[in-house]
Amino acid sequence: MSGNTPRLLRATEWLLRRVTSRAAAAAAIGDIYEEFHERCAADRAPLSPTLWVNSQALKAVAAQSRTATRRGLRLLGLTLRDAAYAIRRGPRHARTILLILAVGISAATVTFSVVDAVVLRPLPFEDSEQLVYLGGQKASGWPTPLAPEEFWAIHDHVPALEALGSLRARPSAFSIDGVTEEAPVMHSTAGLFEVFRLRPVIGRVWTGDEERQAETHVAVISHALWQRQFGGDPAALTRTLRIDDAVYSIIGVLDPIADRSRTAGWSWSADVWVPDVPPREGTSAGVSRSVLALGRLNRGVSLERLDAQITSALAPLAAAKPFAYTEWRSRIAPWQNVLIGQSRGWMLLLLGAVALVVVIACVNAANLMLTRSIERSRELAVRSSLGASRRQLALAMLVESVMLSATATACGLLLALWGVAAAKRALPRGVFRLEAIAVNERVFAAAAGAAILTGLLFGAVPAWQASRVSIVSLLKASSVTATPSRRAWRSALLVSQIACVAILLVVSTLFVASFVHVTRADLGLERSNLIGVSALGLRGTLDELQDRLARLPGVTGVAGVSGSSLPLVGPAFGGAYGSTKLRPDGAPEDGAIELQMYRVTPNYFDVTGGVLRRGSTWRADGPGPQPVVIDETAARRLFGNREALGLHVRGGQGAGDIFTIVGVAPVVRWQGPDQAASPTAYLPLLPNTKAASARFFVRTSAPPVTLVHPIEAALAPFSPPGKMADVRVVDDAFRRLTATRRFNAGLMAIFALLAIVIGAAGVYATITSLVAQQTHEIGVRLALGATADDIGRRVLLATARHVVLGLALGLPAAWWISRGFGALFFQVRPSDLTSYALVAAVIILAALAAAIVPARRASRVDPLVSLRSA
Amino acid sequence: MAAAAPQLGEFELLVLLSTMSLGDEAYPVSIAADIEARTGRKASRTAVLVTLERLEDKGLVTSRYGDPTPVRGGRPKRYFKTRPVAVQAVRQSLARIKTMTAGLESMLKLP
Repeated sequence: MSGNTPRLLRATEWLLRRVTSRAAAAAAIGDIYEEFHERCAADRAPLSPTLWVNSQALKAVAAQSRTATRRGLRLLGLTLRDAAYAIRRGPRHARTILLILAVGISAATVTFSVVDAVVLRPLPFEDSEQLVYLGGQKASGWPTPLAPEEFWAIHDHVPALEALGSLRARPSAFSIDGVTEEAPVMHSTAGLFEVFRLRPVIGRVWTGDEERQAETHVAVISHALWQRQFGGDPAALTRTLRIDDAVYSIIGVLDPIADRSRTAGWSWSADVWVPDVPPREGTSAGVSRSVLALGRLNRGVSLERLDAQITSALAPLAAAKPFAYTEWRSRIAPWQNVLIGQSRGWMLLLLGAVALVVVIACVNAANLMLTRSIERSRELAVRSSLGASRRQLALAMLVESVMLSATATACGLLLALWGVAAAKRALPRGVFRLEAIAVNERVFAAAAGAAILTGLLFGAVPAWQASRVSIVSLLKASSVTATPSRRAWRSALLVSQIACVAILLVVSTLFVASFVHVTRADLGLERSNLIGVSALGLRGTLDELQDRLARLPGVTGVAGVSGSSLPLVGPAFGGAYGSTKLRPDGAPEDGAIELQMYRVTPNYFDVTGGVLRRGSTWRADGPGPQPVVIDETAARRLFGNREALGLHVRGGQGAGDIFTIVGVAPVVRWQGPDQAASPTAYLPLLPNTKAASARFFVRTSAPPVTLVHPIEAALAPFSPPGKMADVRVVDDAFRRLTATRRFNAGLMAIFALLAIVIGAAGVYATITSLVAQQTHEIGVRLALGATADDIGRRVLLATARHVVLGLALGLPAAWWISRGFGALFFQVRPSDLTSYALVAAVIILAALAAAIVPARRASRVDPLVSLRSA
Repeated sequence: MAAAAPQLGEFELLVLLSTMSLGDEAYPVSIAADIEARTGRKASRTAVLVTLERLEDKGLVTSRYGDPTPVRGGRPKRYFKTRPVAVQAVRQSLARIKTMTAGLESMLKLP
């Protein structure tokens, strides 16, 4: 027999203690040692005693784990059964909590579906966070692409980039075997495949060497097109396709990931990719920026370092043509941010707002659970006396909460299916990945997480309170009353709920006020009863078309425009923008500023309703230097505080033309009311301007929408076959430009409404339960001489105390939070006192309205009944 | 009428019978040795312990801890004792077996 006792590893012993009690683990280890010694005595000693002892202990761990799991499941079943029973016993509470949480969770689910699809989900490319957009920006903030020579300078001299490619996607008709199809065609450089890390599934993609040797009549097709047109036949690589008059040999089929990017909402996905190489040498005269460039950053390289390298790469070009760089700088940004654009800030704000709605709903539910737990004090006491531990009581409350929140989440998800469809309809067109918004597995996982989290959140306080219940006091209590600690908790929850409602209401009010200001903003033109017509490609002269439109019934004026797309209409529906440089006569060339340029008919300002601040428009064919009308921003930047009227400026296309300023126009917010306006110059139309480059503003006396078809019909004889003039109501363009703001303001208003309704329900439930539990006290007061009015007043005063405390906490917090969104507000300061006063008034009124019913109930308590029942 | 006692599996029946026969000295090691000695069936100590705990959950046995002993590495024994309901459960199990074997004595060569 071995006299030595083999050593049990500490980890093994620890494991055994985890799956059973400390005493049972000690006894089990004792059994192992005893058996070991018996085996030794019987000459059956194991070869490795330590190994044997530890393996025996591990066997015990495994066996005990199975037992513990079985016990746990049985306990869980019992707990779930008890929770379901408790919920059935208080159906009114359960219904209220379910309703509040379901509404909150469905609002959160819908918002998360939108934010996840638009902002949070990464782009469907490998290491997509390394993708960067490379372009430029004018001093006015207007973004520009790169010039070809800038593209190649960056391509050749910026080591921070792993790859750089240019791209231009546009719908084109291409034909394969005589079958014509219209689909997006990507015109790009070979570098773009490296940028996206797109690999061919068969064949190859073209290379930079082929581009240099001008072997550019090759095409790569998408996986979807390969399946659709060739049934996945590899012989597709021996075929050709035709775009316009050019024939391209198909050399490869791209990975399906390129197709997935389209379903993920990337609208630039294409079915055909063909080479399009920007020229290496720029134009000799100026700089023409038209190359859209995307790059892939080397891992670990910062955007700042990339920016510095780009500046250095472009320095020789800037030195050669300084005029092109005085008001221009390069702009780089993560590509996803560029695609998402302004939506990002809005979306994250909405997510924060809806999170606050869920918090308000949770606090409300917690208060209701607490009230319910007070009503269940006797039941808890009985369970406790029957052997339930405090931990088990707390666990039962938590399980009850999670069951309720899980049920609410299931209802919320059903509501969200409808909500997501409604949100997709309400969201402005052009929002990134709009089509990808759906209740998918990510949203489902988030909702499930929300269910557990909200259940734990609103169950935590009641559970903690249940675990602190003194059994003796519970059994001694002759009636259902709340302990001071529970009253304090309920008060704290009510106050915090009111504070959260105040925060949400203030932020929402500021956004709604911003939207109201946006709709009333001075745009520099009168948008009602105004129609924009883009007659590009039409035959005839501008004068002919202008006359034709002016003769239409309901039309009171027609102004012709060329040079740039129409204000509001262009930014809303796409267009091109011309610019010119002007400087005060006699000033050096570097004193010139860049202006947005329109060539307009003399009646332009009458038709658009943009009343000139000073001066007047020109008379046709007047003598002397050409007349020009500039806007107030241009006048201030060119001449400071001096009167600009009558002064001369130089510039224009010949850079040396001289103009006389005949009028100063109001600033026109051409990109929308909340967007920056660039300095603008209005020049007379060039003689015999062709209709092919003309646009019109049409002022109507009739509702503009009724004139859309007559205008299209009037211009039809001038249109190329199959094409119609683009006729847009300016109000529609305005609505499109402000759609994101309208959507967000609308959603914030809905959240605010939810918050105030849930908040009022919380006040009602809490005050009602307080009154119910103070019936005895109220009876005593009435018996001692208090009047019914005194009692009602006390209840209202108690409500007012909570409201004042909630506002005292919520309003400063709202101010602090609103400061962070200052950039999203329009003509409203985060400290706008009117908004705060309005919110305070609404909350006070809603809370008092919610407290009136319980106050009346309290004032009608019969002292005899209440004292007898005590 | 008394409430029906929990039903027993074969191994549970063996463990309960051994616990009854060992009296105050019933603990996993002794029960496993007893079953092996009397039936020739190999019974692991772990299986016996898990079965005893299951019987404890069913309310058929209770357990207590003894004093630590040096041969057990200073660990106590966990003694198990049957409750009256266990006797009823054993009786019902044996009765069922007897009922089912009635008429099969010659085939099974039972005495």
